Amino acid sequence: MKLLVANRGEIAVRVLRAARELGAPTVAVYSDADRDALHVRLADEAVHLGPTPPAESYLNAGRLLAAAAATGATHLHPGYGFLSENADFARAVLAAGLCWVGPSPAAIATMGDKAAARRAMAAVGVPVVPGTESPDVATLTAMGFPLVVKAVAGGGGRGMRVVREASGLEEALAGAAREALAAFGDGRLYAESLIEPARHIEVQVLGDQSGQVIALGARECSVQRRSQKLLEESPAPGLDTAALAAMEAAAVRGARSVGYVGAGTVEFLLAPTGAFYFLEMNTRIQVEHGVTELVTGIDLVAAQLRIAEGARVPEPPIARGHAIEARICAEDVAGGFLPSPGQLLRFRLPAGPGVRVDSGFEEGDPVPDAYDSLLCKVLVHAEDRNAAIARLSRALSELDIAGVPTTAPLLARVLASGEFAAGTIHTRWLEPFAAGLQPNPDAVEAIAAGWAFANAGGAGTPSCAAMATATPWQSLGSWR
Amino acid sequence: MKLRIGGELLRAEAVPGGMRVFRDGRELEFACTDLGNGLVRVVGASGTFTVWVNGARAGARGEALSVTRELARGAGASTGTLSPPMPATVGRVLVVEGERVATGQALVVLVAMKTEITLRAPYEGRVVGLRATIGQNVRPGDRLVQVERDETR
Repeated sequence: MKLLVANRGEIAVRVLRAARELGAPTVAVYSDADRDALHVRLADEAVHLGPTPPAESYLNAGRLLAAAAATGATHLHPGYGFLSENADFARAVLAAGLCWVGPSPAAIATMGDKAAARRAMAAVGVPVVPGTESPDVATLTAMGFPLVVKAVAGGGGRGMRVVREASGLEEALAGAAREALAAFGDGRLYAESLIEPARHIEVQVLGDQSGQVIALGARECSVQRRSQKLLEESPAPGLDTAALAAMEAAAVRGARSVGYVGAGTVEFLLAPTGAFYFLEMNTRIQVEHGVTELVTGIDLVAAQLRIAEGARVPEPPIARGHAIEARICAEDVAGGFLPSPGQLLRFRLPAGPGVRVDSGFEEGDPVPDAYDSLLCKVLVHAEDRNAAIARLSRALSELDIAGVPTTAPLLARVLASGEFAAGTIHTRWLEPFAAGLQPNPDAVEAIAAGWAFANAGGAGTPSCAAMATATPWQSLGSWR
Repeated sequence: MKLRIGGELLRAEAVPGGMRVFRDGRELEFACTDLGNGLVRVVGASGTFTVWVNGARAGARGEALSVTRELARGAGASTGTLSPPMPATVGRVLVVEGERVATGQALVVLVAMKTEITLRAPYEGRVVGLRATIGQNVRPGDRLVQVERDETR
């Protein structure tokens, strides 16, 4: 096996590491912005794809296939995001004679069409949220409110609208269709009753070419902004054995029905009643796969590569302890999670017992505005949930990033909250919690001191900037 | 000097080896060391911080705040000129030169890190000086569009 990793950032690094441990030669790809990136340095070979915009680099199927041909790569791992859930790309990779490290293009296509996925899951008895594939005003009014309109080709919260009363319905349908068309080139919509407050719980599955599928426990991922996760943990707090077993069985049944091969995730909404409903299936490795690795001891990326080579799934192990992941993103939380590109003037990562950091960046690296805001993931493993919370809080206190704001201070406060300790957080909890926070007074005072020092010059000496704006009279003034 | 940080007013004065900060009637002393590259090590009773300073933005421990020096009264009134809050790409331009716009109307949509950021009219008026084209890379300080307030207002 010679593996081309068609991605960047921390996931490219993660996959390259797994391949090296399996003894496989590796090929990285990069855009202009990533010339000196960590993933380029960790690969045996690296191929320049093109300019920074994703369409000319990491989303460009032709250039990726040319890079594979030029280097003699035999396998392609897509990571997550970019082309990882693009059935046409998977087909093109296979047509080029390469091995695609992932499920079949047909399985990707079924799960990527959210309406088809609902149908496929319902057909094998996986509970789906009551809803309709013909979301016109009459049908939806009869269905009742609140409801949520979603894009058939969607994901990541785009083309999604919550509608609470009939008056906002027409506008929501038009807006969601417009957004879906712009984002996915497909304006088709479907609608479901709104389950709220809901927890987001997902099951990691692993399937092999012989048709076997196993479940590797559940992850709780309810701490979200813009329908995107920031904290994930396994096992899911408060989920009893019977409920977990029911969810795992549903996930395995669903994955098996589409002939799923490799690592995948079946996402569910857990209602306050204890009922759970299929949300969607992600047909790739997930950002938060590491928490499952920590509690099960299975290297999911290595498993993907072995399964692609024809290996069988392992025996499901007994999970041990508790793992939590914090996503450290370059975002200004106080500004409403505003994306914040920049440069990592300082990037010191935590370490110590039970701490794992998956990062795609190093100190001094630029953080381009063309790509995702995820800088690194801080994961911890401990004997129980309380110990894991304490360990992650400790790890976040060691994190020292300067140059861009990050989600770390917010996540530290979430970990310290009573709601997180109780394990009752739902998917719409974080945004109001974040909006109600004031900046840490210690940080405000330190920033005042540092800014004043930099702008007034240390110990009364004018800085270059201050000198440049001062008039000669003012400069001379201090001599008299 | 007086500093406005977020909505709050603080005072700072130089002392040997650092800065004294006045906040809510309290005095806090910090030892400051220039680390170069816009970084300052700040050590006080509350701990050690790596503070980064980038123009009117500064941060520590993952928090970022806008900091401005409080100048004479009346300075800093809104001119209606809209500039990107971060490096970004222009995704959509929703108005044309000379168009009348309402308060809060979306003018330009930027894309950064896969997220859309909408620049909106700060008040009712007329679009002048539109300099945004789709696909253009833009930075803080670039003047993308201005809204001219009605004379009568």
